[in-house]
Amino acid sequence: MASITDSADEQNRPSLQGKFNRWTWLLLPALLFLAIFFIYPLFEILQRSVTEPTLGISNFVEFFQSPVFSAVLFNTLKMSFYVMFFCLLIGYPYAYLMNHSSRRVAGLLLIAVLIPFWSSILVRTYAWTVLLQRTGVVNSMLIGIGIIEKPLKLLRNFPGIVIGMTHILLPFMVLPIYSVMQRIDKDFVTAAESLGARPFRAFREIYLPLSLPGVYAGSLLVFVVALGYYITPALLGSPRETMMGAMVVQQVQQVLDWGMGSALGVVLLITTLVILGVVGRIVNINEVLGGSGGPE
Amino acid sequence: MSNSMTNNRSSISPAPVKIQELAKHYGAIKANDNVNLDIEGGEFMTLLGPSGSGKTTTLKMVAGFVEPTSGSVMIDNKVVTEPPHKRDIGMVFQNYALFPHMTAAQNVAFPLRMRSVPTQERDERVKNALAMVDLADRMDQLPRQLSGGQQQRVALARALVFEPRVVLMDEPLGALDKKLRENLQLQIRAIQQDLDITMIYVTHDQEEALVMSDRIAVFNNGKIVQVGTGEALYERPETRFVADFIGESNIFGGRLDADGSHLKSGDLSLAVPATMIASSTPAALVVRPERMRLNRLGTDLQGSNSLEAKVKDIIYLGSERKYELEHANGTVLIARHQVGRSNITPEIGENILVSWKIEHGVVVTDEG
Repeated sequence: MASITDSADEQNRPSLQGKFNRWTWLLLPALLFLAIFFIYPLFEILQRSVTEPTLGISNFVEFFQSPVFSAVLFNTLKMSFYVMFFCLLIGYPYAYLMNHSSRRVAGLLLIAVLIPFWSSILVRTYAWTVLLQRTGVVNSMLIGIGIIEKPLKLLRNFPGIVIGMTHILLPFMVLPIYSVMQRIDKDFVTAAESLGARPFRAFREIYLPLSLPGVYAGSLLVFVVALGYYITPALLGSPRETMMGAMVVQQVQQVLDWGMGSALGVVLLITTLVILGVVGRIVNINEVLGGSGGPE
Repeated sequence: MSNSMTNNRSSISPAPVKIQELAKHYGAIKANDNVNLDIEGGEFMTLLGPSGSGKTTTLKMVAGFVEPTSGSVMIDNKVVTEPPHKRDIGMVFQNYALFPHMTAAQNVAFPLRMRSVPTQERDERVKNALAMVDLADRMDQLPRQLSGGQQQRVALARALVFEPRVVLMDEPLGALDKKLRENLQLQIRAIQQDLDITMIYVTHDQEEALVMSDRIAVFNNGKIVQVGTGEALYERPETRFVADFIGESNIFGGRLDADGSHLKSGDLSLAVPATMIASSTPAALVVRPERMRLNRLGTDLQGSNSLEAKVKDIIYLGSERKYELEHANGTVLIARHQVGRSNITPEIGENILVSWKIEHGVVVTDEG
């Protein structure tokens, strides 16, 4: 679960309002690293987006006037939403099962969700192209058990990307939900049942609301990570499903328009920040991203 | 605490609970074995025992959270087999189990909502229940804004508000400090009597059991070893375990002689009152510390057992003094006397004669 806390800490750095003492200098190497490899390039991109090819906001004007760019942004948001939805659909029951299994089964389920996490995205994505092609395992199986007659087109289109990205981003959904569920006292549901709640009602009124912080955290992580995805959509999709990541690459490598590429990056960054801001108004981000405090 | 709920309460008589040959085995481990217990309607029954003695398992079988391996539970003269949510039993947990995302009032309203009680009546009953536990002014606070004692009182109100047939409490005061615990013991007892409900209460604290209960069932190794009032258990324990677990005791383990008039314990031969226990079985003689008398050496004591002993330590406990005495064979004895009420006041290191009247000894079986 370390990966979650780490990413959480990036979002809410400890405040520097506290006392400065000589230990504070130990932060210097890390700050220096961030400055050189994160803040400087970011600044560079911001700068290029408003200086190339000419000084001004012409890149952004073009972005919003061009139907292609807006379509790509909309496509990206739509794709991220679908991926988040399917991750939640699979991830919530999965985390619930993990939390209600014996220690051994829970361990196996955890490994099952983590092993793909440790292998290269490229390898996993290529594996999906093998599985999803017209003569691939998925189609042969579906035909074999008689659900469909002709093979489905699952590659180079929207469903293909959703399947691949859902698989790859699933751990980001399962782990936060699981960690919140683990902190829910088992006596809550027992108490609800003793007070007259049917098992499903006890789940809906007690367990589900208490697990929501995990759902918010997982959904936010999956959505935000999905926004910037490049490799998987590029390999499993077609030009019609181009997402922002792929568009940036196209602008920089093929059109050689660094200004427009940078502007696309800035739009993506602002979109992400806006989403974090909006979600932050609804739920306590600190808590959602695994900060202190139990489920409340 | 008001009795506002008594007036609302419908005049159903409280339900008796009958536990018959109840057993729960986990593989070779017998959490409960052959548990029999008759609880009268309106009775406060405490299940007392050390941790792991099976008292909580019994409680969970009554509540329906644990399926018995064999045996049955009858409530109101009917065998219950329904799932927990249909049993109409109020339950209070050690960790309170208040729903953290609901206010005190919402927590108390929960069982009424589950029973589709109309809103207006529901609000009225929630208010009354919280007033009963003196928390009328905390209705809109979340559990984490309440102290431990307040949380436990909300949990109590929640378990009582739907007028359950039986209320079960699983070590409800375990996490609270002594003063608060004593306060709540009396409050729970008063409410139970006020509302006339059947209560099954689990604790490992013998003092708590003595304060609150009509009767106590003592558990050991998954079985009930003795059931009785606090006084009966203290004055007339039947097994060494009960004598040891409830109150302080001087216990001499050994065997009764052939005519049953003396108990041989090591090199001691102690006169015992008439007993039903067979002379061949292992037995023990129990004498409570306050029954022990201290005398000067050479005192003539008729109708008493007496042993010479050296005063090892004297502990001043405010209203009492506790004497630790050691017999020549190494046996350590304890005597307690109210300050100013003992016939002699020996010093540490002094040799004295410790005695007790034969009828103040209790012979118990040395098992269970």
